Amino acid sequence: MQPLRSADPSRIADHRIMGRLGAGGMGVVYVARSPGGELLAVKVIHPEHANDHGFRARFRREVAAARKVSSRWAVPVIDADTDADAPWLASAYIAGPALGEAVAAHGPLPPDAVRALGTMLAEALESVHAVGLVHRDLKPGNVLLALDGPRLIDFGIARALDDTVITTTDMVIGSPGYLSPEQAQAAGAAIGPPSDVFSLGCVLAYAACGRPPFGTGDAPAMLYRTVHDPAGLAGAPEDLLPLLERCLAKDAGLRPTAAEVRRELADGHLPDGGGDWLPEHLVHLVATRSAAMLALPDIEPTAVSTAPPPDEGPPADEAAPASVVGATSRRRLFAIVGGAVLAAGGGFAAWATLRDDEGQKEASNTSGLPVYAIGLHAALSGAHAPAGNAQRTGAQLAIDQFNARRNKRFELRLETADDGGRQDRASATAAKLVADRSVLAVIGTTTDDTAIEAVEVYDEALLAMLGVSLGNQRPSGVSTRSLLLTRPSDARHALPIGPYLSGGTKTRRTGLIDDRTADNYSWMTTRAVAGALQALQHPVVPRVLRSLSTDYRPIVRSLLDQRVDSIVFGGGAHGAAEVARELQRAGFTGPKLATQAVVDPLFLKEAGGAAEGWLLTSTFIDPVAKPEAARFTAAYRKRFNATPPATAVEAYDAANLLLRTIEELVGDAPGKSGGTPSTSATPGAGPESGPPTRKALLARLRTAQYDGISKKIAFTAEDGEYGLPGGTFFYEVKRGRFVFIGDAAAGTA
Amino acid sequence: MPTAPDYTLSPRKFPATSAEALRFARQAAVEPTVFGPDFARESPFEDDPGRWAVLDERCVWQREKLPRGALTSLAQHSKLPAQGGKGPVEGVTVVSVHRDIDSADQEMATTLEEVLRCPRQQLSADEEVSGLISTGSPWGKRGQKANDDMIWETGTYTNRSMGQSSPYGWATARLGPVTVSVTVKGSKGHTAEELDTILRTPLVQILANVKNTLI
Repeated sequence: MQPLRSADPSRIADHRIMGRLGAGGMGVVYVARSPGGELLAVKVIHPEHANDHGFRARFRREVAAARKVSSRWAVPVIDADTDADAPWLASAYIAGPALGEAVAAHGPLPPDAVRALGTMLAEALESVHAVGLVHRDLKPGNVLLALDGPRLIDFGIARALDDTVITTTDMVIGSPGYLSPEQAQAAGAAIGPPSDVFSLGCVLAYAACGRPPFGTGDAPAMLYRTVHDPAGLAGAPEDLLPLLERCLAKDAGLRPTAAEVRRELADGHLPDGGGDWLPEHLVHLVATRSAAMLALPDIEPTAVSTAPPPDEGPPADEAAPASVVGATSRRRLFAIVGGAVLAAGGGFAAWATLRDDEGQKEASNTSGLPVYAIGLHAALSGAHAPAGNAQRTGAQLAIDQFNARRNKRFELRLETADDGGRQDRASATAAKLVADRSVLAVIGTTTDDTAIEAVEVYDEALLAMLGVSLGNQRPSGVSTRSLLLTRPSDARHALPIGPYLSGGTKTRRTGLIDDRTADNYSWMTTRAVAGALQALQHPVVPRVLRSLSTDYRPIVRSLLDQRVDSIVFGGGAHGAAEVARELQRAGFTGPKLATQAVVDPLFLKEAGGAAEGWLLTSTFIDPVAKPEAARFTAAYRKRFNATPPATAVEAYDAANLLLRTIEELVGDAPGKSGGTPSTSATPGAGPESGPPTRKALLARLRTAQYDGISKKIAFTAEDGEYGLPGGTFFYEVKRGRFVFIGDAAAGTA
Repeated sequence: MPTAPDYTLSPRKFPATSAEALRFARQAAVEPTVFGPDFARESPFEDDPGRWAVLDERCVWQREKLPRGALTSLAQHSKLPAQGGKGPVEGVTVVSVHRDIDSADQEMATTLEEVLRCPRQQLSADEEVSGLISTGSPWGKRGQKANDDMIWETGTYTNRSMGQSSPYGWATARLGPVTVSVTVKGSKGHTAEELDTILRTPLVQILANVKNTLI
């Protein structure tokens, strides 16, 4: 995405413009957000085209037709104003990569994926043709990949004026490898639905073979080959060859219709968009692309300072401040997957204690009050079980305390579901909680990997999903409606290091280490820190640990040669320990900082005495060290006979936010004057005794503000990310322990 | 899904001398028309293969002698002339051959460091790129299974003499001791998407040439 320019509008109708996608002969395409929060691609036509009456009439007609296209695999026109001075149309914005990009980067698709792609694209073409439109420019760039299937974009609208097609018989601009022979000969009126089927054949051949069937290179030669030569289909799966050859027949009359292509490819089993049509590497590409795109507009304003995100969009014009992940191209972004979960001890004992509580579920019904459930989707077994069980106990304590109240209108229970921290079990685990109609909202998951899968299920059900330890920007694609993050993302939580080093210490030159072996996490944290420091004019000397090395010593030495007076390490506990030991050997005494992934006992163990004095950011508090959490800590000890492990208090806050919001909704219900609860809320008291809907709860949560024990919680309206400044804390290693210092934004001096 | 590359490079096919390396690089390189039908050689077409571009302390690119670890670095320049109301597009391909894999791996790390250090870089007296961001994916990360390592870099290219900014894209990949990079500098009327397409074909083709020669 490109930054907005000063001449760009800030709004088009009710849609807020977020950035530019590109410009062409017809106009400019923007990314915008609808009032409902949906991302849109808005194409605004240049007024000079709009002044052409013939054009406007045609535009109106085609927009009307395009709005009728109703295929899951065609991106619909959602909104349009064909009468505006600069007419525009808006369609859903798909953040996924184009087919062309995916194949260029990763090679041909496997035969099953080609078949699925063909079935779904043919279905999309059917619906385009059904409303009397011809796409005219079906090519790999106009097929975007989403997890559940492809999306055909840019169909029909005012193509003849577009500069991506033939303007004269001998001049082609753009990519001619996908045009039909009749288009190649500029046969005008003869261009109908069969022309799109020919292009579909080209696209499928490209997907199957990794190259266009009429080659690349010189445009006239390519067009000549399109008209005269047989298609090059070497490498295409044998069982697809006959169909591809028919689609690529020179004579339009011999080609199958889109419906025939679909039927033949589907061969009995229609793809249901179940999400597994793409090979794994592309699933990853698609998911991360969508995730990254969604994250961007909101991190931009907060990247330069710790001020709250302004209400208006990203800064317009070139004057935009340097940002952490700011002006990134929308088409190739870094994966924002694989965050850190704070490992914590003590969870198992607490979990074992809890096992005895199951009986309470039934007992509470005897009070005669309705019983609603809060779901806990967590890793209660496996490597992440300590964190999962910490969250389980924290949430349980909040619910127990609620149920012990006298003046309540309902009781709550915690419905737990264990995914073992395994990505392949996350969807099924989520489905279990969705199927339990008494579950009104869910706390979870424990890891970002599982969240990617689970969020799709919760989205579908409009069931709120409150992340406690999730730290990636967006673990899912465009459709993420249900996810709310109660902590700052991995990138944002590293930001306070900037002001700390630049203002809080007297350092002048900071060495910044990106550990490629820690991949995404290190990328996030180091880009955040570099952006924050550079915005403060603080010199940064970056070093990137190369991918094939695990030797940190040369990097540390070269930084010391560069006379850095402070060090920031972006990776995890093991790398930090290596760096710490090398710094100790060199007698380095300046500030040494790292981030949440290093708040791990492994760091203390491997670094030994070299860990002393390291300052670490974290989004989790130590309730034992925070006076405001004393009551929580005492209650937790009493209930579980253990010191609260990391993330338990954050889960306690999340559960309290949920139950308080449910209370508000119950209080709002018709027939209940919001004041003191009465005893009338008994079974049979009338229709108002029904539970709040999941959807209503989700909507209310999005705007909720809660002053938790660990921190204040609120969400960004658009994305459900943690929406407040701060929320990050410093820990310092002292005498072999992580000592909680306090709010990182407040400084530690 | 595979957990190791589906290609195996043969170390005995790695060029050993500068002369071999330069021959290798020329064979791997592609004609300007691979960028697009109307691209043509710029004059001069090639830079001195004994030097390469280094980003100095002040974030200005300079051409310097190759370090010990590099055998050759063949940079070739192509251009799409302004036409049809659109401005020109410049494409540069660089094939660098190192003495060993570690040296090539270090070039990749340095490339990532450059953007961290200098999100704004001076290309020449009146050209700069800004708002740069780069991401790297070693083999197997984020589905990158075509090369040993891959870096994408994007930003905005500004040509002061032409008084305009446009999208800028740069990609580099490593296969064994060889790195291949392609840069595309756009101008008026070219969308980021077009430039992206322009960049990919030569990149994929040169890498295929490298791979076919080294396996």
